[in-house]
This record gives sequence, C-alpha cells and structure tokens, in this order.
Amino acid sequence: MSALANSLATQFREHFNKLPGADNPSIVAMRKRAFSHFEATPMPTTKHEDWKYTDIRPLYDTTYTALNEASESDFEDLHLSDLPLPTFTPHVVVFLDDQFCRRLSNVGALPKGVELTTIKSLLQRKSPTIIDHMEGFDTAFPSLNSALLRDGIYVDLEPGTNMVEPIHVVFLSPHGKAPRLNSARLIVNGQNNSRCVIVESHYNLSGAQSMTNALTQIYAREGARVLHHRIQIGETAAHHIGNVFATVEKDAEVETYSFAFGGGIARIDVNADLIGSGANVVLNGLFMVNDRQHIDHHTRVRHRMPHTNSTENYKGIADGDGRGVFNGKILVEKNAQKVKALQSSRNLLLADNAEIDTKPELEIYADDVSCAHGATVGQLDEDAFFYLRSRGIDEQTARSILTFAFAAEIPGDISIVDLRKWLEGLIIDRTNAIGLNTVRHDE
Amino acid sequence: MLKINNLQVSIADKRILNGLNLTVKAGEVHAIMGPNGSGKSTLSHVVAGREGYDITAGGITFNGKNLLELAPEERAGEGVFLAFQYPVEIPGVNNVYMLKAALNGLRKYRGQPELDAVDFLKLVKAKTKSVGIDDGLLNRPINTGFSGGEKKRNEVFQMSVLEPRLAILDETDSGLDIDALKAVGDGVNQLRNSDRSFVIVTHYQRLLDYIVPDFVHVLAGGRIVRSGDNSLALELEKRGYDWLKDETSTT
Repeated sequence: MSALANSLATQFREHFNKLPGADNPSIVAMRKRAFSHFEATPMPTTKHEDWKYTDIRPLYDTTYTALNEASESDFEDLHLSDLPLPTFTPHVVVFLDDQFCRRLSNVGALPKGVELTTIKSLLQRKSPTIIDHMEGFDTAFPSLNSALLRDGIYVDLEPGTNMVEPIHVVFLSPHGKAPRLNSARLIVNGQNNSRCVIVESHYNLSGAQSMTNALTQIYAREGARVLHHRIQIGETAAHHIGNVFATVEKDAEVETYSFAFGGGIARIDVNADLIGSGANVVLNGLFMVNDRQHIDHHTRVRHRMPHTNSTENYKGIADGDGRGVFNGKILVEKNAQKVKALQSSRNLLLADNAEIDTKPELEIYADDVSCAHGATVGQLDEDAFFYLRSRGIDEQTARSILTFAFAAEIPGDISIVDLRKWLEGLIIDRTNAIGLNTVRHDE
Repeated sequence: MLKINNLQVSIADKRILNGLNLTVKAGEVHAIMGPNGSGKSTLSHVVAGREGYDITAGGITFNGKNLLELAPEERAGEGVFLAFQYPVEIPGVNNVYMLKAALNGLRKYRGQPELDAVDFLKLVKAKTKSVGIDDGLLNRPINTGFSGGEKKRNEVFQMSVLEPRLAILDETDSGLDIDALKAVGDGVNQLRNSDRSFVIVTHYQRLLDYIVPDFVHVLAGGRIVRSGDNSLALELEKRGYDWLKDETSTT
C-alpha cells in the first residue's frame, strides 16, 4: 500500500467517529464504504489509459495530515485583503484548509429562494439529501473526498430564482507545518428555471505544501442555468486533484470554466452528463504551466438524450519544462440523435523542454449527430513575432503580447468585468514570466 | 543614410542576392523594380532584420551603424520601418494597443519618455485624420478580417504614427484597386520630407504614378542591373523586364 493510503487509513480509523454526522449510522456507514472504495481502487499509474501522461506517485508517496483540527487562531493574521483575490461580489464564502471560516466570509443579503448551507451542518442535521451526493463514484478521489469530508458549501436555488450576483467560494490552503490534505466540496443545486453564477477559487498560499482533493457537483434541473468558473492557483509544492460533475437536465444549461495556473501536479476532471433533451453544456478551459509544473485536464461529456449540445474550447500554454495534458472525451449514446458536439483544444509551446499532450476521444453510438473536434500544438507564429518586433516592440514584450492574445480568448467572454480583469491579470503575470524565462532559455 | 555594399544573401544554400549595392540619402525616394524572383522581398526583409537568411558577404549600414548586428526592434529604434507585402493578421491583439507598445518601445530605445494614454490617443486621432483610415479599424485585432486595401492603409497609418527615417514599402501595391492605390500614395506623399527616405519595392510601375521616385533601380538575378530616374520605370512598363535579362546575361 502507498504511504498516502497507509497514513490516511490510520487517520480515518482514529477520526471517523468524530467527523460531522458521526451520530448518524448511515453517514458513518457511507464514510466507511467510501473509504473502502478509495482503498480498493488501485493507485493510478501511467500504465492506466486515463493517467498515461500524469504520474501522481509524488502524491501517493507523501504522508499528508488530513483530519486533525487546525486551530483558526493560527491564521488570525490572515485577511482577505492580503490575498490577490478580486472583489466582484458581496457574497464570499471562505474555507481555510477544509473548515468554514466565518471571520473571512462575508455573505450579503441573498434573494428569496437562495440558500447557502455549510455541508458540516447538513451532515450534523442528518439531512437525507446530502447522503445522495456522497457515493457512486467510479474513481478513487471523489470517494476519498466523501470519506474525509468535514465541510463545504451547498448552494440551493428554489425554482425560478434568479441570483444575479455571483457567489464566490474560496478554498485556501494556508501555510502549515506538515503537508496537508484538504477535502473541498461545493454542491450547486439549481432547481427548475433558476439561474446562478458561481466562482470557485482554490488558492494555495505561498510555499504551503499541500494536496487539495476538491469535488464540485452541479445540478441544473429543468430549464436552469448555472454559470461556473473554477480557478486554481498554486505553488509547485501544492498538488491539486479536482473533480467537477455537472448534471444537465431538459432545456438546462451549464457553462463551466476551468482556469488552472500551476501547482506541482494538478489533475482536473470535468464531467458533464446531458440527461434531458435540449440540455446544453459549455466547457471552457485555460492552463498555463512553467518549470516543475504539470496540469492535466480530462473532460468527459456524455450525451444521453437526443437534441443535446456541447461546446468545448480548451487552451494550454507550456513554458520551461512544464507539461500539460488535455484529454477530451465525447460520448454519444445510441438513442441520442440530433446531437451537436464541438471540441477544440489548442496549445502553445514556448520552450524546447515544454510538452503538451492533447487527445480527443469520440465514442459515438448514434447515427444522426454532428461532431467536430480539432487539436493543435504549436509555437508562437513567427510571422506575427517578426511583425511586432519590426514595429519596435522588443522580443520579450512581443512574446508576452502574442501569448496573452492566445490565452485571452478564454476569459474574453466572461461578463463579470472584475473577474475577467483579474483572470487577465493572472495571465499577464504569467506571460511576463514566460517572456523572461524564454529569454533565459535562449541565452 | 542607408548603404548596402556588395550584399550576398542565401536561403538554404540558394543564392538570392548576389552582390547588391545601393545608397539612399536622406529625403530620397528610391524605387526598386524587378521581375518575380529577383530578390526584391528578400532585400526588404534583410534590411528589416527577419531571421532565416544567410548573409554570406557584404554589409548594410544605416547612419553609420552596422544594421546586420541589430535585432529587428533595434533597427526600428534606429528608424527603419517595413510596410509588409502581406501584413500579418494577429487575432487577439488590438491594433492601437500594439501601436502604443511599438511607439513606446521606439521612444524607450531612443531614451525618450514614454507617452501616456491621453497623449498617445491624441496623436492617433490626428494621424487617423491625415491618413484617412476608418477609425473603426483601430480598435480591431491587428489586420484581422481587414480587406487587402485596409491592410495596406493600416501599414501606412502605422508608418505615420511611428515616423520612421527610412520606410521600405514591400510590394505595397499588390492586390490594391485604383482607389486604395491612390489612398496609399497620398498617405506616403504626406510623409515625404527632406529627412525621411523611402525604398519602394514593386513589380509594376503603377504605384510610381502616385509616388514619384527620385531614382529607379532594376533588380535582376540578385543585383541591381540598371539605375535611372523615373523614365526608367516608364520604359519598364512598356517593354517589360525580358530585354534587361537578355542584356545582363550577355554582359
């Protein structure tokens, strides 16, 4: 058994009957089943098709502290204003490690029909709905999240509710003494014809050695619309596992963005199930990797009903010896006629040692479908590069401008201006670093 | 100002320029004409500093500086501007944003203070008027979706903002109708002054109806085979290039 599984098994045995919901036998039984599923699922290796390009042994070789009570007083000096987080909404929910932090959170008056509830209180209240979200996963990490889960946020929108102001959920990994494993959970239940905008940020404070195992579940019921932006920022000491599951019912729409800006090893799976006709999903993503960073996105769209649409646009940029992976699977089930699926994966390599592997995977069992996909890996356009330099723009600036132009398409459609500007700022910070780095490589 | 001396250039072991000599003084307009494949575009690109050419002999100086040792942006800083035959489309980069970065890049190179947004926009507005470019194009991504004429006007517009000391126009007339040709010619004529020089590279004489050169050179086989005044251009228009080829191969 791996060091990770061993150490987590010890911690789980010690703590499972103290975790939220421990007085509820069905929750305790659920945790045990979930942990057994994690233990029984073999560690993914590069021999495993879904992990071909991502070696997560460093995660499995580390002993992480997962369940000890971190004292909030350790972080009394921490203020949101110290963090480079944007303020685009009066509704901010903050988790420190995986505990809700009341001091840093700030939730303004919510419209009628919108409810934010901590998952801790749902577990303690023995809410039957919460158990439904805990099981039935194919892979190890979502099960591990359920077994160890202490808190998170549940966003519920009653039918017809229109929540215009975004809800920003921030998961922080502060600097601790021992490497920490955080289990972050976000559940969005958009009931019939409701609308909401969610921003989910995972931010690793400078230098913290950590692993985040995040799980996001989005339900867009009939006619509902959920707009979801996921942003991950980490140092190379921080590893990140993210799973997003979106279930899209009849005439509903989910638009989900994934922005991944580094970390050591980051693996983000975005799954969308289109289970009612007229369901629509938009998957957009951007990742940027530099030295000693590795980001892997796996997307999987399942068209289970006729007249469902998916549109996917992912871009990746790798510099230094950074590595990126995109794998996009589109599955169209047999009865899912009149389906439209578009997928695009475009990638930019900025250094000789950088690598990006991209692979579309189409499995189509229906005969009346329109599917198109394209994948490219290239370098900065030499003609454009010379054109800018011939105008007097120096090499580094020209490289940054072109890299930014490539990346900026992805946040370009975001209508929350401060969020888009923040993302563009994050891209610019990195394109400037890219310029410097590449110049160093050239010398 | 510009001195090209015995320039020999190859691409992948194929000799393109074969001992080219050219001297351009301040305020002069030189036209370089020649048949396809004579090395006209290579000459433009080599002066502007494009990579991928082997310079096997000869040299280029600009106001006494060895141009071949400078990066493209440094040559621009010295005052060289190339109007592209095929202006590059760059989606995602705003035309005006690029121009501001370019102008401030040049100013930085010359040790001048950078222009702030207000002063820069004033300048752009004034130049927009004088070149007659549709200001709707300014805030679009560079050349993206522009017509052939719009692209060439944009080159002239950039030239007017960046105010080079030497402007090289590489086949600027290609793909232009008469109206666009006239507009480009007017734009260039406005920029003519006693300090600024032009090298106009063209296959056809027609652009020279609008921009009347002081000197006309014929480039063939990688060398200048004949020089004269504007009447040489008219002769070429009448007789084509073949008679020159015959003449040079026999000499």
